Amino acid sequence: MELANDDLTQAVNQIAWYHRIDLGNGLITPGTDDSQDRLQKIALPKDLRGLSVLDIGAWDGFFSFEAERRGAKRVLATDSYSWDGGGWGTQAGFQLARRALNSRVEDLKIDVLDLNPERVGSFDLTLFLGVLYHMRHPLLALERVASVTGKMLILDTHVDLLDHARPLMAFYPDRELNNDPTNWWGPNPAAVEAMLQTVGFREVKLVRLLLDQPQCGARTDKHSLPVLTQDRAIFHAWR
Amino acid sequence: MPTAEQTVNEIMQLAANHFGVAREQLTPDDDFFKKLGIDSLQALELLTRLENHFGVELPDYEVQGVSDFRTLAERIQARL
Repeated sequence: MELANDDLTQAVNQIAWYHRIDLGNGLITPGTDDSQDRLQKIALPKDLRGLSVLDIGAWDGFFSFEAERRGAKRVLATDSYSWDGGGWGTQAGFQLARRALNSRVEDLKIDVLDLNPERVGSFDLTLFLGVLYHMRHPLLALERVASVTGKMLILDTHVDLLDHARPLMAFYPDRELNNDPTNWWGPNPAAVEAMLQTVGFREVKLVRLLLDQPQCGARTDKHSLPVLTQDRAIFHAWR
Repeated sequence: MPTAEQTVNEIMQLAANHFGVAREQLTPDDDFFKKLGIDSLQALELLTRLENHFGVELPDYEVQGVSDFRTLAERIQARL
């Protein structure tokens, strides 16, 4: 059943949003993430007609709905932590947006490490945005991601140690990165590329680093190092 | 610097090898989506391969709407 605009506005205001999703009639969900800006930066292909898309860590579903809008024949939005209500939010935003957009995007609550072809199938395009550095076991997570990716992966992640050419990862125990206990790892771009190749992606491209000037590390004093350079990076990879 | 003809030939050879199509089946004015049987994701992969091969960067706006080998070669040639 379609929601009247006033009812929709009221429902939107009752949810803590992460994504800013245009629900039509001038109503945009008040998320903290500049989702349109991120969409430009990940370089999502404009034409997804006939393709299947898996959005891992979909949260409110901005990128899932965008993939559908660009013609994807099937989109599966998955999440666990952001939908569980234990910290960051619930699935209420995704459910409401799907209803408001009259979307056919499918959803599945599943942990990244439980992804496999038998459970979810294989997808032409996988979106793995803002998740890798929250994984306690990043290489294993990428193995799972690769197992359900048929053609291409778009990966957006926090990166660290930009001043090193060798593949390295910074480890953030406790709340060292941005006071967030779910941030575990900061790979450098060489490490991301090497891990992607290790799990079976034959072509990997660093599309861009997002900040004009990499940031100094946000670690606590107890582990302070002279210079740590951090940023956000987008990678495209092909099986 | 290679000539435009050499560049388009290199592109077609690389595309043929990568997507398993006979080189003789490709001509410069072919729509590479149709002739190679590829979608937008595979076209992006081809562009990445070409960037690496020729040592150039192809911004989105340069290749937006390009679908034939000859125009693609012109865009690359302009950046060599």
